[in-house]
Amino acid sequence: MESIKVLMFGWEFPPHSIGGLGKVTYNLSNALANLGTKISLILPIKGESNNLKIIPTNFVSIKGIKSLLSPYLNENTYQYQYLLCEEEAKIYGGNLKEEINRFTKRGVKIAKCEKFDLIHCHDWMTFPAGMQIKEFSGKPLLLHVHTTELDRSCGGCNPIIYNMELNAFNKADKIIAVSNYTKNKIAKGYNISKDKIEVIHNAIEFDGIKKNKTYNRKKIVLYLGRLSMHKGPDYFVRAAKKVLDYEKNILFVMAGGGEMLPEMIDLACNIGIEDKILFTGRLKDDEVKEIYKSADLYVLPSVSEPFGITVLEAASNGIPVIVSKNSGVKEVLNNCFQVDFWDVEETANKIISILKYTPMSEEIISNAYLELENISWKKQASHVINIYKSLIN
Amino acid sequence: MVAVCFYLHTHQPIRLNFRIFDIGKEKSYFDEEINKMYLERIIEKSYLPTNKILLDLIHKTDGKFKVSFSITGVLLEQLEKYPKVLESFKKIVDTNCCELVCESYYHSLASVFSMDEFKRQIKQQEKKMMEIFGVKPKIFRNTELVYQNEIGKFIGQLGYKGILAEGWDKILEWRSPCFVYKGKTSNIKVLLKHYKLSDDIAFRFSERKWEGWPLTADKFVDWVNNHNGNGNLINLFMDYETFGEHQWKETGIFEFLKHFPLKVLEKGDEFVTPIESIEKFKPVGEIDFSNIVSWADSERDLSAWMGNRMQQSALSAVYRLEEEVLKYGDKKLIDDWRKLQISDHFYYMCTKWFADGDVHKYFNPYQTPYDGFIVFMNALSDLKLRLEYIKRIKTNYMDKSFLGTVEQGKEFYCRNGKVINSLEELAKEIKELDIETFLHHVNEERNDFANWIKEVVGDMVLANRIKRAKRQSTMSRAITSRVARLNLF
Repeated sequence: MESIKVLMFGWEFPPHSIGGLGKVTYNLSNALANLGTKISLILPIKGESNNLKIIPTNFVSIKGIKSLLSPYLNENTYQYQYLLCEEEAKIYGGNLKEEINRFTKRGVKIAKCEKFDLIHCHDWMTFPAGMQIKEFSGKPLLLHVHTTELDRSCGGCNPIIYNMELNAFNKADKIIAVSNYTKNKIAKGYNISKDKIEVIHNAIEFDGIKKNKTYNRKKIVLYLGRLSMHKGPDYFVRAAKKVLDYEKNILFVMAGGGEMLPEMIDLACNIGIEDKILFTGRLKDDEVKEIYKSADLYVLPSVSEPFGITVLEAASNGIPVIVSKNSGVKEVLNNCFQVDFWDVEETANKIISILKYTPMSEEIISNAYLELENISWKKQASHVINIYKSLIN
Repeated sequence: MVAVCFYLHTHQPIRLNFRIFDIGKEKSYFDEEINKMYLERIIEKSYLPTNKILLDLIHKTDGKFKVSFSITGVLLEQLEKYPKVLESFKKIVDTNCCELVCESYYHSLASVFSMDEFKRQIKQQEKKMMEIFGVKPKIFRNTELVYQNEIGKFIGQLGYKGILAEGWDKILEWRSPCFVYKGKTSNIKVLLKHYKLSDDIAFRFSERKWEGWPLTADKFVDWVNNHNGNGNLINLFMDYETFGEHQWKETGIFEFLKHFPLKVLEKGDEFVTPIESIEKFKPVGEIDFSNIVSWADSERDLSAWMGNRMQQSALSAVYRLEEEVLKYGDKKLIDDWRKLQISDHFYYMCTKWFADGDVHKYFNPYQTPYDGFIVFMNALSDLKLRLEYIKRIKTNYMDKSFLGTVEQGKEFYCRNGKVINSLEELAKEIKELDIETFLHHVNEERNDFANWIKEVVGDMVLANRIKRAKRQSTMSRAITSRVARLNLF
């Protein structure tokens, strides 16, 4: 059979990535290509589009569109980006909506010169492009949902973005959700039929090797992720306080940038734990590796977490994890601790207990490894290909 | 003619709820609300309707239908709040068509870890059975049917005539479970569970994929009757909760229970209790259980209770305390320690099937096996702390060093500015304290004086007395008389 040609719209690509999405796009498109799919990937990039530096991949052809768009933007952060680049600003849209329109137009223009069997779009900024291309080409549209406005906004939903998603979900031929948790959110929050939504969990490449840990005199509890409201960093800081009231000899590390960083530093000072909690800001990949080596426990108290790929990374590095019940990752990793994100006392109870009763960490990690061995991008890519096939025929 | 021995194991655990922050706060380990919820559900769904059917059957058959129970001490304790339920069990026992079988009071795995403790829990169960039912048991069944030669010998020495065990193929080899056997190295009679027929009811009854489904009384009794000529005893051993809880009413399990005994009798077969079966049938040979066998899972071992690191460390931590817990004779402490031995706590920590999200979820009150471990270890940490205090009370009962002045920096600072540095001073000051200051230090939530005496002075005996006192004068008097006694010592 002739190989399937996919026109894929992504957001970011390593090393220019600030969230999990870049990693996911990279790994998934690579795995798809290895299974014989031909992928043309269109990405928004900052700076010169003909000078695209990315990690080389096989069989994936990449086209950049010069744009200020990047994942996790909202109207305010976009305005901030816009003001930063005065000189060349005339080519960019004056606000987020205009910029998306501009990106969409460029995307459609590229698509007109491409040959493809279907369109595969990752998350909302690329949905308008996907819809327009579907319209002129008549090719099926597959939307891949890594997060929805309902997850990101924690209640303060932006109606423009919500409607953009709603519209796209209705027009799409098929939707991939990264978890059942997200599938339900799409079905309930956007009133989309569940039959239209397939779940394909994210994965990691797990080598099965037991990682060497660096020895620390203090136990280290790690938060790794953007400091955004929906990740629940404030619950982490409050749990830290509860733990430290009980047990002093523990160090908390908050690794990640994000709009809530100043607020979290403030909070830590106000409740008097500033000397027990380290804020590292955004870490580079090799720094992330180091921090995984020294952490004894990983905590992700998200208010809403469509998947939570860092949980798999932490587990694969031999770190037990506490994860919010509002998350998708627990669907593939049973061997994790679960908490209600708001139940700070229970989170603290678990943190102390896990660090105190060591046989449990050994047990949970060896069981988690058994689960991780069954996870791979190759498997997930083959599920995606099955969806491609059903759409083309 | 074959004889059917129908035995039901009856037990409900006491589930734990204990966070790390509860340690040292004298909070109960047990989740009253949850336990009540589970117990009342099972009373309604299983105990009451099943007991009614069993009693009706006995009457209807003029006592030809017979049943036997073992009811764990921890369940009997819980049922004391529900006299109606206890009464329904008593009525059945009083018909003389029901034999009560003994097991360990706490449904524990003591037989694996400490024979002394095992014996004490058997004695406690015997006492409870005498109290409630006026019965002295002659047959024993161990937790989860755990059996090996040594256990048989031990139980025989305690005066029991017979013991229940799993009719496991690997032990039986070419032999049939449908006879009475004699234990190796002892005189005890071993009654072997016919696991195929027992599990047809207990596990497969509502399993639609099973070729035997739907299981009618006629079909089942045919299978029983077919053993004529190949054996004389069919031991149907299962959890009592099979009726109405593991198999819901909607599956037709109660209809089945109403009818299958009548069909057994119609075919000319009969019912026996365990002791009757031993009296009636001579052992056909000796059976050798050199290793531990249980009735659990396809492995028939103890891996569901002690298969992983958490379970092993929890079990060894609780049994390691045996000598010390018993040494000081604190009844409440001993009872709590034994309640932590209830085997269910360790079962909830099982990770064997967890990744596949299997059966255990239904029975597990905790979200994950890890939560089960945390709550257990928290409770055990608290128990150790209590043990430590009790030890200090008992060993420093009289110690003159309590009389001196306390280390600098550890004085008691009253809210009104007074600084107290010895018991003698405290006795004097407490009497003269204004009521506002006193109530600041002694109220519903705290008793600073008792804490200071406990933590700083170290006199646990006095601290305990002061903790209970509510008035300034009583406190002062207690301290004065304690000081006087210590001076005399």
